[in-house]
Amino acid sequence: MRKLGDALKQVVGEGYEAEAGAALRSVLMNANRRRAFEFVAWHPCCTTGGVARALGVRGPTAEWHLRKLGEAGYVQEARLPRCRVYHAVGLGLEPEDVASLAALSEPGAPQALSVVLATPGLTAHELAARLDRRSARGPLRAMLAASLVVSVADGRFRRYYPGARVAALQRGAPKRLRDFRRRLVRKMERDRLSPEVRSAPGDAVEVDVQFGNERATLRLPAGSLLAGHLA
Amino acid sequence: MRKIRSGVYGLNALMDGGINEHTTTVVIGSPGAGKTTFATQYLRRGLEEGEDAVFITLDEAPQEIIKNAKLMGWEDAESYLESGSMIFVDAGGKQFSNFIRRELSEFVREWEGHNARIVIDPLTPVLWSVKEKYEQRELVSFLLRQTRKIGTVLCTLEEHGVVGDLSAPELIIPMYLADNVIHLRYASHENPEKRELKIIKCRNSKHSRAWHPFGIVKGAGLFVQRVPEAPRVRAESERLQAEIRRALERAAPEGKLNAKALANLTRTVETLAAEASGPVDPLKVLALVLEEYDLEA
Repeated sequence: MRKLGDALKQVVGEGYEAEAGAALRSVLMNANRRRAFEFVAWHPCCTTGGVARALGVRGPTAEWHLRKLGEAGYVQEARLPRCRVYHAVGLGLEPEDVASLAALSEPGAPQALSVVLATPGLTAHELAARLDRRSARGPLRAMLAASLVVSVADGRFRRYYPGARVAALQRGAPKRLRDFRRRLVRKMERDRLSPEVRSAPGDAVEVDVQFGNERATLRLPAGSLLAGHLA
Repeated sequence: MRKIRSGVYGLNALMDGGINEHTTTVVIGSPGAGKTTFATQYLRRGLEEGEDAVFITLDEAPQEIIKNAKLMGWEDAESYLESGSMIFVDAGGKQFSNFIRRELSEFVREWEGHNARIVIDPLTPVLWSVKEKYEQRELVSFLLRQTRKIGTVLCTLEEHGVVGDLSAPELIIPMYLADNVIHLRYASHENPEKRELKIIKCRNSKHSRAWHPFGIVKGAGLFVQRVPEAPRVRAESERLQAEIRRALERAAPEGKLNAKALANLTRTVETLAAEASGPVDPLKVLALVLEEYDLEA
């Protein structure tokens, strides 16, 4: 039977365990690494390429930052058949969540999903026109496989609608993100970063951290797991 | 309200039978007074009754606490750790106060109705983790209100400065907010050393108001020697009660007061009569009560 004391111990966390990880403590005090962490938090299951583009750095540099964040326990890697993707530790993602979110790393997929959500029932041709692309086949194929969109036959056309996985990902997202932040704050406390959380505009929160004389602020999602992809 | 045994030998009788369940108690004392010994005896007693025990330590390492508990005669302390009925939470002051602000209410919602014995030893670093007195008060008030929903809580408080001076804010704030306050006065500079205990406050209980010498014996623990309270003279008490009732009948004959006022007045007078042996003069207080209702004794 689960005991009150055990549960309390888990929630409070203990003050003196972090000593061993002293060298890792300031991992978030590097500006680029912090931006990498924010990108991963806003774009769960992104690829190294996505992080590199967001940071304006080369692939190996992005990979190095991700590895450091991984070693420090902030970022987790998931291996998929075709690629490796990264998400923040403590998001509590199930394998099917990882598969769906990873589909959004396909070039053009986030934009295509935005259009499908705004205007359900477009054909592939109409979708491509709206995206200003020659074809929407690539992103649609990835999202169909991940059930982010579904296609419905309409005469000789196929029309595209939001799939069940979109609702599944959005359902309970605020609570999931709240739990994630709580775990993150606890981790930051253990890493002596003195985190202070405050709400911020645009369904986000800001976390002020301090290590020695250095201070920094991280912006994290509060409302949706897809917020970064669909922005 | 159910009373639970404090585990400190001789103390229950001074607290009207023990500590009220689901209340908060603060134990104040200078270094070496016996606060942690008090706290471990309190938990030990609960464990003997099959209750769960949580020891939140903000200062000493759990190993040290266990070592000292064994010195005080609690030889099988470790067996409770092994069985999981006693849990140590080893936290820092800032960290624990962050937990109080961010996570305590959700934790209590999940565990409400549980009844563990919870010790916070010492509470002082939690108070010092915030600068403003107002914030300190908010934090401690919230902590005590919430934690008593999941157990019976005992916090220790460090007494800094002059022995016996309880006016420091870090003492005053928790003293106001807790249900029970016990002061362990320890004059280590006197020869021989002097240890005395007083129940400063014990809500909803008729508690002792005297100073009682206490001692700590290696291998046995903390015990309180009771000094007799002012003796209850039964005959005197009965005489007083009769006198108070007669005075009430004289002052408020039937029909003079409405039913509600009369009921209140009767209850007050009965309480006064029961206090016949206390430090107050019931007849003088009765005159004041009657005055409130525009009656004359």
